[in-house]
Amino acid sequence: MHVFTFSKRKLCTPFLLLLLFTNAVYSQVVVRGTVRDASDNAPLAGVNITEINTNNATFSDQQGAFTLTVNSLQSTLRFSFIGYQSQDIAINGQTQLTIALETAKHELDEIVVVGYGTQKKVNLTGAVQTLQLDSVVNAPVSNSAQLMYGRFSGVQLTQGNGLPGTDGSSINIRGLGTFGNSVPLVVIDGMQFDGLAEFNRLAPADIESITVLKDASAGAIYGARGANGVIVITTKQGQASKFRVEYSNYVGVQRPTEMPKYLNAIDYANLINEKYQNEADGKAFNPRYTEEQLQLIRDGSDPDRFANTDWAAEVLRDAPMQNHYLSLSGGNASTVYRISLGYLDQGAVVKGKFHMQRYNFRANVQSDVKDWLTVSNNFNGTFNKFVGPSGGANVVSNMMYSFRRNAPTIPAYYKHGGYGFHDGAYRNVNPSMGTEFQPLELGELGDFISEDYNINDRLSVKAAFKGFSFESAVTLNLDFYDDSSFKPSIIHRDYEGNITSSVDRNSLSNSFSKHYRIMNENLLRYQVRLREVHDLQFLAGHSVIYDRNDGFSGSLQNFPSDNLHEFDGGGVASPAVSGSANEQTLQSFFGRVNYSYKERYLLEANIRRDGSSKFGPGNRYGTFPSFSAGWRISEEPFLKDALSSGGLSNLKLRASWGRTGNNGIGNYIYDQTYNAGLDYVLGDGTIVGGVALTSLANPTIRWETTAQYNIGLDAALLGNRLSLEADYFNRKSYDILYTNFPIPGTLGVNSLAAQNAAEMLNKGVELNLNYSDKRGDFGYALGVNVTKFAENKVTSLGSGVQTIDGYFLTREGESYQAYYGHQVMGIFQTADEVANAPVQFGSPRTAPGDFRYADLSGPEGIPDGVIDAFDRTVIGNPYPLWLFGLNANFDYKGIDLSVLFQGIADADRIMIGNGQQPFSDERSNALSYWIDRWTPENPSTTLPRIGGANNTILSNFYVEDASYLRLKNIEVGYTLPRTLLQKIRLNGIRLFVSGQNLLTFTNMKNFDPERAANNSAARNAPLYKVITGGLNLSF
Amino acid sequence: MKKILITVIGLQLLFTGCSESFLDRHSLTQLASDNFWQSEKDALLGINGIYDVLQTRQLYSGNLNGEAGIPMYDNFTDNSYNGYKWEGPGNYVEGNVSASTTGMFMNFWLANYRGIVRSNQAIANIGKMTAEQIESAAKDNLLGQALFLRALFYFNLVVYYEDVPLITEPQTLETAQVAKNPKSEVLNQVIADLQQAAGLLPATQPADRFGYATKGAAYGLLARAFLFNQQWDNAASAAQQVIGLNQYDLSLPYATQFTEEGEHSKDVVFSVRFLEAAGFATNETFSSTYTAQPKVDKQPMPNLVHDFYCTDGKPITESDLYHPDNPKENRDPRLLASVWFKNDVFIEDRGTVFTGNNVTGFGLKKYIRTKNSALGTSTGGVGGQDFYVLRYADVLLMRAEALIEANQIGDEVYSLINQVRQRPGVDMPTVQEAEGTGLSQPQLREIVRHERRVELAFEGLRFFDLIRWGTVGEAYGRMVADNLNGYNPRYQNKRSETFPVPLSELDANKALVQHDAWK
Repeated sequence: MHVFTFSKRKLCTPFLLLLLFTNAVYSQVVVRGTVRDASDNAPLAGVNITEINTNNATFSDQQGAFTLTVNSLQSTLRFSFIGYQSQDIAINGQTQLTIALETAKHELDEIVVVGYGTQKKVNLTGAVQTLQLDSVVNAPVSNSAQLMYGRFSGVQLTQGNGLPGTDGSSINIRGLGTFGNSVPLVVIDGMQFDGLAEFNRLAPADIESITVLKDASAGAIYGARGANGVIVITTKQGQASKFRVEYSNYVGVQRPTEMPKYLNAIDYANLINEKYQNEADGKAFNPRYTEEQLQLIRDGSDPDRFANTDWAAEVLRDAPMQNHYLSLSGGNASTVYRISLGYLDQGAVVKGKFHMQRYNFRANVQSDVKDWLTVSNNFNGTFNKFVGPSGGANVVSNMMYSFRRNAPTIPAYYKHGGYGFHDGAYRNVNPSMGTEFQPLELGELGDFISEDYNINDRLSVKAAFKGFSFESAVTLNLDFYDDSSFKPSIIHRDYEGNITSSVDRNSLSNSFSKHYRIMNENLLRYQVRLREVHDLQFLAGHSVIYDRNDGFSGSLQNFPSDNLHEFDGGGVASPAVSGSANEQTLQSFFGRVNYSYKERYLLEANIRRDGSSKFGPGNRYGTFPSFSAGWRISEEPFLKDALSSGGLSNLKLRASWGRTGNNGIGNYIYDQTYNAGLDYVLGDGTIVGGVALTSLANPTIRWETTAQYNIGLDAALLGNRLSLEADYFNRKSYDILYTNFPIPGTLGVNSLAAQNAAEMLNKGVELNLNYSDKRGDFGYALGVNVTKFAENKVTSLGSGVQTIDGYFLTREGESYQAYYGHQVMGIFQTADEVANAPVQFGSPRTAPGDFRYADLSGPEGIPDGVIDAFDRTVIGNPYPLWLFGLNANFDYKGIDLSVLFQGIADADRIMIGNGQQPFSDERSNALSYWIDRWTPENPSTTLPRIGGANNTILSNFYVEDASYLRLKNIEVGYTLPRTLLQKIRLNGIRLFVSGQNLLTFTNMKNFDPERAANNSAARNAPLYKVITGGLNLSF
Repeated sequence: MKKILITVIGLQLLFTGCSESFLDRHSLTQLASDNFWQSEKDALLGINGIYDVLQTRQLYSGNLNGEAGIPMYDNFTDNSYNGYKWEGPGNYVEGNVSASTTGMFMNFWLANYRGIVRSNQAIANIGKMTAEQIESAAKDNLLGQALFLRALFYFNLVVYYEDVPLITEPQTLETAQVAKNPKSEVLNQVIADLQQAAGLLPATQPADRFGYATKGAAYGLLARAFLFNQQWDNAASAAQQVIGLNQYDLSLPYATQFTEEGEHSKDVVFSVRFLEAAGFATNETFSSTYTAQPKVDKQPMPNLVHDFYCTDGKPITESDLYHPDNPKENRDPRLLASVWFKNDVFIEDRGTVFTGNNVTGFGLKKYIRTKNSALGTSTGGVGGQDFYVLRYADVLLMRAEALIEANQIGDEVYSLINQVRQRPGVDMPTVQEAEGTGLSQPQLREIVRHERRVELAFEGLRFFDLIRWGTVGEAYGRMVADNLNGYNPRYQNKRSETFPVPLSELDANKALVQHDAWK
């Protein structure tokens, strides 16, 4: 590549000299000047400067300077440069000019990235939304997909975990359209990924634009992988002749958004005794804590035996975070490049060894090696290192579980320095339980290192001639994971130093996994304009993908030292190995036709035919078509004047229909296999292999299909200051794989291969409004997006029947995995009420203080005077009916402020298993509000008694409103005046303070409302808020 | 020219990988089903796949801190108290369970059917194998395994759920919605399978296949099924078949029998094999215990401890040898092998003393580990102790009981019981010495039932015995009389003697109906 650049430059110089010499023959008037970028005052090299209506022309040099000999000082000069708005400047007799070029960003000329190409925004017929990230991104997101929060209508992001490395958000575009994998296809610089991982790993500052292809007309070009929507990301490229160095950083601190409050030691001890008392029904019982022990708890005089530990406060903490980013970019008229380096360092809000570091390497190069031939390469490498205690991220859920699972009477540490495991009642007849998980020990015990090496490269050669272009690109994606977990030998002691349990052997587990994907894509494009009014574009393509995963893991025990963490460190016992492997292939043919008549009537058709190895021979290929049309009403001659006089510069109607598929399902489902991973013991303790049918295959399996239509309206008003986009969509998904088929246990298989059985409907309305204006030095922009969904509905299960999977119901006419449980009518206050009410779960123990459940049905479908499983009903909606985002940007004389709000409404979450249940077992603590439980003295009407018969069964009591509005991001910056900077040869310095998740408005207490819909216990690290400060430098 | 060249190369690329084989991919880690069951090796793998089911926690490997399996089933009875009631038995005894909330019912059901379906596959496919594919002796042996195992799984179901779907052929999804069959039909199938298996199986397996069912295992289980079906003569003769094999004896001391040292003893007629090994799911948890007090979820109840005789063969209420101040003294050695008393060291490698700090005041000793394993695993972790499904002592007592019930009372009845009593390390007085001669049928019935209780305590057989004797209600009386703090046994007739069909199964299979007692 360097060779080409070099030779081009050599060629260039004599040519320019010749040009200057030729001009000099005719005229004597010389104009000089410099051209700069209007936004940062950087010199622009390579700007084409022509004297209009003459052949006089030149280019600006590396300092942006130019000298042009003109015919007349009354002429007009045209300054043009790719990516900038052309400017015509009348010389007006001057011989020294200073020109500032604005970047091309005019709404009507905006170019939007679509599948396999770009499109002028005004000519779009599908539902496509873009987020352009032109300035440096400072938002402290460790997963780049989180830049999408609040920015896109119809797109819901949900973060369920706050641990570095596993704190990515899930994304749903236009509702949940499958029972299975709903991850959208991600396309980064033409490379295709099935998950969000590569997107999340990008350095945010490398991203130029994020585009969501929402409807089927936009997504059908990705065929069998387009049904969940497509996210297309482009990374920043260099700009010709503008060498630029940018550096930015931030340093910040993270803090849990919400801290759960549990009962303190004495309240816990009293309530757990009360539980045993209530369970004994007036008979003798062994209290957990004796009177004497209660006194010790009360007065805190023996904290080694009876402490008052707030486990959540012990475990959660503030954690640091920092980020550095450096980029170099530039190029000349034929070659542009941009290289960058990113570093992210993130601690965890959970105590212990958890820590993540990420290094990003990127190099984007593009060169026009011939006037008809362009080569380009995009390289992205990431090295991600996560360290933690033995077991890695997996131990966090146990640490969170310990908040309620551990008695607050157990000290965090004993006086002798060891971790606390027991309180002083652990040898009582009714013994108190030791910590099942000592969270502080778990956080520090042993070592875990996970290294992730990720390399993505796309190499493309593109030839163009006479309206045709042919591009062939090869993509390589490589991902290696190398994990190592070392667990030392352990001794647990009680407060007196007695050993209570021990693990004598240390152990090491290592695993290595490799994923690679090779893709070849060949694209033929043709573009033609006929009779100046008919614009036609054609695209034909072919693509093949080979994808393979391999894994290998091993473990070994009994190393001579806890300090040796390698397999050859002397481990001598229990060697074990295991592995995994799978492969898949995809072959596709696709095409697109765009037609536009005077940019007024727009038509587009797409088709893709995908063949996937996931399906059996008879079902391998699927065809996915789409059609769309647009009518730019504002371009109609008879309306144009009328509209523009009303300030309406653009008005467009869009309509589309198409089919897309989802092949994001398991491999080899069509192929009946026997599970070879079983084992038994024979002889003198020899392990022998076993084989069995553990899953039933489905030879007729096919991809899932979504048929979607979309009607949209785009408008620009008030001189383009106000823009509006509104869409109505209707997504009908069918042939959905029904994996939770209720199989009778008598079939004897663990699972049944999915069947293409179910149908689901998502529909809704999206609205995006943007307003921007500048009043003197005060510039501002406001954006609002609102999405209103109709309730997600399973419309058919085919021949299948409803599935009740724990707390979740999948039934025709309800949302997928709707919350399913009992309805609480109130709390029994008297024995008479109990006697006169339906029998509650056949329990003879129901008593005043227990929940009174509604008798809704029975075996015959009518209330039967008995509360049992037949009385369950839908008690909550997992999917929000509203999404909203609001962003505002202000700038005034170097000070800028941006604010982003994001929220959801009309959504529920099951909150159970983290202390919400009133002492569900013999050890657990409960959230602090349980102090107000029902007792004869305190006949609560909202909280039942402790130790009741059936109060822990899932009911609407455990369903909470998960609506929230969150200040997702706020950033205040100050850009130092340029005059100050020029002395130190800097283009710009901006200082900023930024915050993420700082404020959340919600009804939910104790826990963050943002959480996965189907994870009722959700024992993940809590979400965090971040405050950062940093600077952006460019020179 | 160059342009043409590039276009040609591009078009070549366009057609790479177009062949159909590019898209034809199969699992790299699983066996294709269409060419399985072709050789003896395949058949062995298939049989091991059935055995794998036996290691399910809710069948034979549980339990510590999880849903109860058969090793915990004495908790349904007057033998032991389930400190962690939520594991299943504790709540069950208190009448505080339902088909929807108790996972134990579901997982016991699922595991047995998983085994049945794997057996059905093996029976159908091994049966079809040709002489070229498998030698007839090997074929008989493996077919016998599958039949034996199917019978074992069905027997588990019929004892605890009574009427259950009887499926003897491989099913498809379309044929899976099946109704229940009457208990008697299921039991007849069990008997038929065991009779066939007994004919096919060898008397012994080679040493490297120890653990596979033998002729003795099939006849022994057959005796158990006949006893359950009250076919006394058949039960007696099935038990006699085991005895007649001359493969079994009671030479190993009783206490040693319930450690890993006892796994290969001649008392073991059929066991579920376990091994503690890194990376393999072949371990068990029924032999594990907490260290603050012995086995919280299975505590010997006082009425059982008091039911063990003194060394003179007399009950504690009659014997002069009994000292209430030192209840361990002069007691049936089987008691001392099965139960920890206050002040016993129950964690040997740490010298941890049982302070009597549990609800019943007695700790479970039988099968329970007393020190870290050779692999360093603590007593609270997983272990590798085999679980004995069928012991020779049980066979002897079954024959004795069958003869008594058939009223064929003779010297043999005494001799059978005496063999059990006079095992090394037990050496209790003979029936003649302790209870006398010329005993009546009811007297002998009581003797053999008592002998079963003390010999087989905590081995998961008590509930089965009480159900078939029709004395579950009486056992509840003893449980209530023990008056344990925080334990409220409530006898609810049939509901205390059967399991409900799990709700998930009723949800999935519309042809099923709930057991009458659980409606």
